[in-house]
Amino acid sequence: MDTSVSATSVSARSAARPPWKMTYAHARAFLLSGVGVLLAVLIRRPDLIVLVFPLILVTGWGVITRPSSLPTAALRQSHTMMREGETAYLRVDVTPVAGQDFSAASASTSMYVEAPRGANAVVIATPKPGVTLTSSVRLRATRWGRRRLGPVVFGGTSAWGAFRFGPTPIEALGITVVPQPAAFDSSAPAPSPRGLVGRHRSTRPGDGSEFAGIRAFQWGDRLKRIHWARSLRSGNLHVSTTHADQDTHVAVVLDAHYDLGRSEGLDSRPSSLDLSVRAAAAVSEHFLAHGDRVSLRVLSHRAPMTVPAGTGSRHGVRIMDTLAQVVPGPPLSSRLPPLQLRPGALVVMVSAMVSPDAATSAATLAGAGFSVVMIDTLHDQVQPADDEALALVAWRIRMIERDHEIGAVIRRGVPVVPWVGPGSLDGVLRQLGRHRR
Amino acid sequence: MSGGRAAGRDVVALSRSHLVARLVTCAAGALFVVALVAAAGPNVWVVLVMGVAVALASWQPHTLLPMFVMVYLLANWVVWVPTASSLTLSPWTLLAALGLLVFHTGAACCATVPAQAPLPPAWWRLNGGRVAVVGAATTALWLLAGVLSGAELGGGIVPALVAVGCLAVAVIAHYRAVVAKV
Repeated sequence: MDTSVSATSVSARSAARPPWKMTYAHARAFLLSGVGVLLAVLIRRPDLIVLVFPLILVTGWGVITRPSSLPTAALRQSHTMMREGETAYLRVDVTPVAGQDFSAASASTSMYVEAPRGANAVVIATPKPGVTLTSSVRLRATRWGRRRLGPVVFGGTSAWGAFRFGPTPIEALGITVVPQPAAFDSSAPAPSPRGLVGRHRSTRPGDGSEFAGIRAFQWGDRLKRIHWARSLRSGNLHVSTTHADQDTHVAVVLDAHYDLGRSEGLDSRPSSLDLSVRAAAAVSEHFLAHGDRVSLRVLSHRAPMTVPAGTGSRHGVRIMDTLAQVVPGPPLSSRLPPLQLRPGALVVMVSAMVSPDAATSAATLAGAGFSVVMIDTLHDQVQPADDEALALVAWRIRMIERDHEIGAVIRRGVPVVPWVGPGSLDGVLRQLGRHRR
Repeated sequence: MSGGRAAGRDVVALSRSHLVARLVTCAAGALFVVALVAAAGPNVWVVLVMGVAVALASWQPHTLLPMFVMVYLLANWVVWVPTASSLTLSPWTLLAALGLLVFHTGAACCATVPAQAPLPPAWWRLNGGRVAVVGAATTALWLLAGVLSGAELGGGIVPALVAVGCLAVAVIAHYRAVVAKV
């Protein structure tokens, strides 16, 4: 799934357009020229004339070639969606005016939007007035979510740096940064596939690729299924049977009620919600790649969201877009809303399990006959923000309670898997599959 | 303190080409100091202060510092170089003028572009070409001054008054062309 190839183009124009202003450099050249000539005449020092003569020429040259009209600049972005860790290009279209030598643009960085060294500023030579030139600056988003690229400040300069236009701001452009799925690869089949198409082996025999057994021929069997060796030995026609290949409905439930720890971007320490979102993205992408139907439910009081079951790469983009909008918000009540799942769905609940609500909900679903897997995304580095002894004690007590809750939910038949990346779910999915058969 | 930190960050963020441009600016200022030492041989401390001032101005080209430094350099030239015509229009004068030209141009052009942006080749070509043109004109004036200094020209108050009048006209013209329009 390529989420970074959206062809939408968004542009913004510079709003305020201040006039060309005299620079310190021009004032310096003018002042030193005047004082130098005056002094040379008064104290009879011809060498002073020679010393300040270049500055006289520079001053005159700067005044004669001073631009009289204002340049324009527009900002475009080639993508409206990208993955965290990727680099976005902001294209600056500059239309210079007569007398303008160079244009310069510089993009501001912000929280979770950084610039590779020297990549967020550009100097553009503008030899021909009226001809639009395009250059680009680069910014890198280090965390999922809605981010703003910019604002970009734009400026221009005339000959000898005598006059300056700007810097004038061009308003920032928004971009959706979807999570970078944590490395995840599961080779285990989904436990109870029910659909019509897919790559999982069904519990029922049917038209598929995995061998199931050999039985006597019945009317309606395909001739290509006849097992000739067995038929010759037994004297009766026999056919080989296969398991049907089917898909399953994977309901990813993301517990976004709390965000513990400080997120420091993709390359550094994650928060619990970072891990949860990336794990949900990885699980969704994995099952979508296997042809399964995936739905998403985000549990958050501030931004509850639901993506109905679907399949395909476009559905994957929709899920990623939804994950990018996750905002943590604690629940108003201890009862989670009903998830409205169909029988046979595999429920993957991604949670830091800070409050007992998610575990309770998982146990309830398991009691209702669903295959439920909980992914624990609370990592060891999450600690209370302050160093107060009371906070640390409270945290330790909560962790002990949490261990008890995890034990209780495991006893109810819900496997709880700490998120460790590749193969996290393999063992659990295999166990669930055997149990169902 | 925060200004110093900002200046420090500015230097750390410099692109390689921008760093080269600032080093060229600093070297041009040093050329002026060398020419002054060769022409007049001022006090060692004065030379040291001029060197530090040039380096500081190259570090902060977008401030008023380059102006003060250039005033200081010219003042030292007036004070230390003897008034004998054989010394005032020596080749060191031309060298000092060219150094001052490159120092001013470097500071002016570095101040108008973002420090972290790489400078395109056109930036070097354009500014280098202009410096060459003005440098050639300065050399021509220096030669002319050398020729005229050997000639016996009538002095008096009139040429001085004419020069001051021209200067006043230039200042008024500049004011009307630039300052009044800003």
